[in-house]
Amino acid sequence: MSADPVVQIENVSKIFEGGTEALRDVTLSIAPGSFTALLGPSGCGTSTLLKLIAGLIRPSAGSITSSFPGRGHMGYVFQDATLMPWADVARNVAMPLDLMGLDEAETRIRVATALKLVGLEEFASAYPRALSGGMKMRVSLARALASKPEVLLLDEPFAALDEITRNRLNDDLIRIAAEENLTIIFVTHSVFESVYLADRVVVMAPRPGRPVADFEPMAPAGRDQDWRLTSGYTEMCGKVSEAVQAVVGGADV
Amino acid sequence: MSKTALRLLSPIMLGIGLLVFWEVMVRALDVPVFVLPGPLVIFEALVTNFASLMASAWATLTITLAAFLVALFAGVGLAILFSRSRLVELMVYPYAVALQVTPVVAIAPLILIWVGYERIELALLILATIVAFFPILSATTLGLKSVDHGLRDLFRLYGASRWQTLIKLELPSTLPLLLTGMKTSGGLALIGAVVAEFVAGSGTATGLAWRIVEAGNRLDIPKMFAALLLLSLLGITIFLLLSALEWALLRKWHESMVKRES
Repeated sequence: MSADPVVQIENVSKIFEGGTEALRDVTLSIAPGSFTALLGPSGCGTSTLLKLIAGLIRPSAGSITSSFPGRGHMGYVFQDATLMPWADVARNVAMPLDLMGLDEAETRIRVATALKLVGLEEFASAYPRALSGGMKMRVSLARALASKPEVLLLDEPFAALDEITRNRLNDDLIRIAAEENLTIIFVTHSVFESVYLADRVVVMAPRPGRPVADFEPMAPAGRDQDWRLTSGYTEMCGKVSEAVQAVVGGADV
Repeated sequence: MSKTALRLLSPIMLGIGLLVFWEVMVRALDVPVFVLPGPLVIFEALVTNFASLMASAWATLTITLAAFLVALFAGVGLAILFSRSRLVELMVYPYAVALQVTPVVAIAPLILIWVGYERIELALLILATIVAFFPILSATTLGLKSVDHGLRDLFRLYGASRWQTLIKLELPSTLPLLLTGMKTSGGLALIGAVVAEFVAGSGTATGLAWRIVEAGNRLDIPKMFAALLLLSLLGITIFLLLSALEWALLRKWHESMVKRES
């Protein structure tokens, strides 16, 4: 890779209290502007890896360096929308800016921009309980985008959604990543989703989690659902599936 | 009739029906007033003793509200301390439980001796606070422990200070449980105040409990019922006010306030 990595993970291991070894000797470089999917079965340590990158937990060994230290440079989206139920959509999206101490005028502009990016301008004053699952995830995405992060970490964000909503949000994410020039690290258990979204798919093996295969699907810029029907897409899905099957074997996942 | 009207009117209609039945039965069976007075005689006793009963009601209400506020601040404060230090929780919580499970009637004489009969108001306040304190402590402690871990992670990611986390995340998240604790605690503060007045006995307390004891000693049963009625009204008012507060604070977002089509 020519450009300096945005995130550099060097020989990182993570053993939790109680002895569970979540990750062993993980080394990964994340290039600026890249869309990396971390793919693997349950227990392969992908969520742990995201939390390590975000600085929410510390590695037991190894190091993680980011070219954007300080708060606000990383956005995080969980599998659940993780919204504050007592706050309306605008206040939820404004949460990072509020914590970072941005002034009200700037906050208003950024919230409006983030909501426009995810197509929820009309719902600024709605409360989370009035929103569908897909809309809640859009709010969560808008909140992560509001601080104008360089790196967006997404932990199975669309796993709980129906396929139609999931496909639509996948397209939205590709569009937003291009528009905002984001570096994205996306955790998923779906081979098809990873190949569709990412320009790099890292397959992780479970217990302990570690990368075992690295693919570059060559997803075309500006791709849409039609790309799913091409032979290039299905071939790549086949290759990635084989790699996943190889690490899973007959094990219970 | 609309559902709201039915909800409001049905208990009122039942109450009126029972009062009429009570009055009719007392008259028909010629029940002596010192055994069971009818509603009209009780109302008459209320009107006759209105000034003294209202003064007593005010005294009981003052102790109740003061105890409730002290319990609220102490309970929330201690729960926050517990959430910050597991060691403090492990050390203090068993004693809070011990204080809660020991009957206030049993503690009251000791508190009265320690504080002194010349400062009876303070003794009543302490006793009522002891009774009212635990539901708030327990509800707030549970609420603070139940804060969404994902939101906690996000607050950390964006560098929130402890104060920001408390004000913008932990307290709003705890609010539904705290309000439930407050509703229980409001009623218990009144019970605590009344029990403390009973134990304090004659010549010192001035609240409604003392009026009940005094009326009982004189076999003035209508006045006893009048004082009881005022106590009930105080309890109901406290509950309704706290329910209104709960509605005002939660109606926009909490699941318990959501009206569903059935």
